[in-house]
Amino acid sequence: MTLLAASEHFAGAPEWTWFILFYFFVAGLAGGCYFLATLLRYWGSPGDEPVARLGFYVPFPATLIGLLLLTLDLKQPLRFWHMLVNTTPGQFGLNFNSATPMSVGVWVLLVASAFAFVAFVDALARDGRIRHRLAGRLTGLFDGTVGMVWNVVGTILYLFVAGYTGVLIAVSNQPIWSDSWALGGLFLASGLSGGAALLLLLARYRRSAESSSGVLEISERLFTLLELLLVVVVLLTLIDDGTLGKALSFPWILLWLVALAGMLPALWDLAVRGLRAPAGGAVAAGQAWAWAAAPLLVLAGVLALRAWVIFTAQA
Amino acid sequence: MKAQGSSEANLYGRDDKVYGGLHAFFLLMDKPEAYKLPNAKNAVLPQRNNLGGYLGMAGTAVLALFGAVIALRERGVRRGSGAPDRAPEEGPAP
Repeated sequence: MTLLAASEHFAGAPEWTWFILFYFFVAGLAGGCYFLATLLRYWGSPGDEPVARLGFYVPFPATLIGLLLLTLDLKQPLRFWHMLVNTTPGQFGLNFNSATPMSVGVWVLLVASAFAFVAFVDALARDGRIRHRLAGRLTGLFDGTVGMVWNVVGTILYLFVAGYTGVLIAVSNQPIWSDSWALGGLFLASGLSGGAALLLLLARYRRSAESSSGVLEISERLFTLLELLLVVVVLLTLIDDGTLGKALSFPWILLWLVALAGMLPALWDLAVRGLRAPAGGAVAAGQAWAWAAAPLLVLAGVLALRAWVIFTAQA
Repeated sequence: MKAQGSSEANLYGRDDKVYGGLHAFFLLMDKPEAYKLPNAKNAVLPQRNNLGGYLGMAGTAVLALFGAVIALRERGVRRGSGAPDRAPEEGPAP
């Protein structure tokens, strides 16, 4: 008798490689940065505003890069707009299928980019980098409830952007991908920890943002703990479907190890320091590299996690 | 066929048990596994992960928000009006 897997995979690999990998990466970072920026601006202390602006600088360029990567990945890039518009003769209209994460994701990405653009311009205007009167009006408008509502809605959209990529692959008929329902949550948690790490790096170059390092580090520890829990859930679901062996086979396990190494600094800090913020103070020039090493390792882990998911299934 | 002694004979795909329906059916003289075909148990569509995926995302977002609230617990000042403060002079940290 032939033994079959718990679920059969019958479709060919979609041949998603580097463009998709880096799209997943920037989508996660955009979501993490927007989330933290909104929380720090509206629920942090006044001293968190500089790092909040750094957070609002990230999503719009990240989205542009992501859209470019998605377009380049198409076999016919000039037809990217067919994702949005149905060009079938006699059926002209908008393309939207709520049952397909790819269709939902494209539309959310489009709408979210508008939110990110306005937040980006607002941050530029507040930093005095653009002085157009329209920008001045925008910051005036954003000083009130309108700004808070705009950014809360933008945050929800970007949380979706960070995580839907995991749902998208979980509904694709490939081993590992469709064997776990938890990839969306895992990508979201990973994007949040990556966003915190990126802001920690960027804060290094903005003197006024350094006072927020503590809250970013504690956030990163907690997001990483969440990520670890979701890694366990993903592995358990793969055991259930009999694809764990493939998932942890060589050389893909090396990507796993990098992903885990990216989690180690935050988990170590959580174990040793708990939720206490690190001691403040300026970083000496000679320590700059050591200071940046942990966030860079986190970002490498965020990338490696996505690389593992993408490449292992298609190997 | 069964009446003639082929007890495992079955029409594969005649109902919606395999991938929700194949729009075709095939006469098999043994269980689907014998032909390396998915059976009713493992011929599942990946779309089954849609709801679980979105719910997992939503649950993660809620837990992340809870974590962020913990991280912000000592920042202390809630600015519900949404009025951000002007950033102090910026520059590379020493």
